[in-house]
Amino acid sequence: MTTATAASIPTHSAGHSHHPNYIAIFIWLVILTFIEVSIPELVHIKGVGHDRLTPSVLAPDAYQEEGVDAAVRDAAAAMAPSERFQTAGWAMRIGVLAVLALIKAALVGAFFMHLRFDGWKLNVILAVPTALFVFIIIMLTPDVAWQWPKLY
Amino acid sequence: MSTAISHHGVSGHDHSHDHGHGHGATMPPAIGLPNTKLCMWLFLVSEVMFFAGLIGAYIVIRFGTAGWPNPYDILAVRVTAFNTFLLICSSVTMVKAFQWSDAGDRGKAMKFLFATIVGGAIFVGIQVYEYRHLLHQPSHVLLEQVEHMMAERGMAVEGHGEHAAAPVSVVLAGMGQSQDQAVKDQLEKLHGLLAEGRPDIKKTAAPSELEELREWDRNVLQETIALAALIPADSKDGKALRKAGRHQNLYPEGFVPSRDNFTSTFYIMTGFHGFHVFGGVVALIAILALYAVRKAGTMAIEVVGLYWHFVDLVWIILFTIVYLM
Repeated sequence: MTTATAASIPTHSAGHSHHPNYIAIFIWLVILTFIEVSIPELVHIKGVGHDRLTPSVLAPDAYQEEGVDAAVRDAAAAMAPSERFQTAGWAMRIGVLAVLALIKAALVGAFFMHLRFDGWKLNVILAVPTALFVFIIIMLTPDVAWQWPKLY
Repeated sequence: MSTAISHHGVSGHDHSHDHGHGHGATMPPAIGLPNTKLCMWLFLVSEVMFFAGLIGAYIVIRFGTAGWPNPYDILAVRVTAFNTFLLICSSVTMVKAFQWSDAGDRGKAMKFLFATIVGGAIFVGIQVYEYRHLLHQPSHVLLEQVEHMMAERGMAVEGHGEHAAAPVSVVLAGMGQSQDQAVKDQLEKLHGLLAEGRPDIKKTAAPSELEELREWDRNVLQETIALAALIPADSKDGKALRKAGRHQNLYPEGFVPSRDNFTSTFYIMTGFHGFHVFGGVVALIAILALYAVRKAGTMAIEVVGLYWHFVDLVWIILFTIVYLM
């Protein structure tokens, strides 16, 4: 019965049932995920706000001579708000990660969700929330720009 | 059989006869897509806006908060990276189920559907495990690290039998080297503090009792910093100690949702996504059951697949911004 069914179904009917090489897409997704996860592990940006409140700001080797008190004193000093972000490096890392995530999302949308094969009208429908999504993010940037200098 | 395959009709002329209850007006497919599929897309469009709200709020909160912790110190990023991989795998099995059903091989389609369900269920399971782990007080991680370092140096750890015995080789290696007494003293000091445990005092307790709690936290931080100062930062122990110390310092009560902006946004974003995965698994089980008794066809698999891939797509974004940035 299944054979008969298979025979009666065209594998490439118009706008439907087009099956790209899913495994190739999968391999790309895995490679991109691996790169993404490696970036923060390999490229540790010293001085990023993350580490400010924490013992990692110490340069521990420097204290092997001076001892415990100096370490604690300097850790406290390092918590002072005057410490600044290394904004450029951090922003670059965020930018690279964002681009990689968007490429992966586009691969899933285009091939797994068949947006490439389902006609332009569906893409027009999807363009609306996508544009609104981008609009929401752009609308929020003045708030970020307002907060940023006060905090960092 | 005809029910299962006639679902495929995209041109639409046979749609109203699909289930043999085509009375009333026939529904021509909109924009060249079957209506079921278009409806799923419209639902997904509303979902895009839902997640846009969450991500937008996250961006404002993230950039408006000083001293955002490094997610790598708190979250088990590698475990979640595996979870991400699992979700990508389940997307492939989903699309394979659709492909096989499309080709008429129902048996293979059902196998791939089942694999997708298993993948999704494991994803949710790992997330529950992650939550449980995060909600737990982190001082035991620091304690384990300290005991590990003590064992490496051949020091006895009282009251913790399983950690006390260092491998003989480690002890011998330790004896050969010049013993760093300062490190040992500091390890013992910190161990004493951690082994005694964080005072079990509720947040609503009297200020004097809370002061005891805060003092314990302060002491642990101070002794950890002091110990870290004696251990090279780029050594394996140095890194692990600093990581555990930062976690302990930032979230002494555990990574609870009410703690700060990071915890609340973390739980709301990953939680809503996890809920979507859970819903997807339930839907997939239902579709598989209906498909097995031929009450659902390829169209059902394709449409539930759209939802599943969307959940995968959202996770790709969320994983990047919550765990990696």
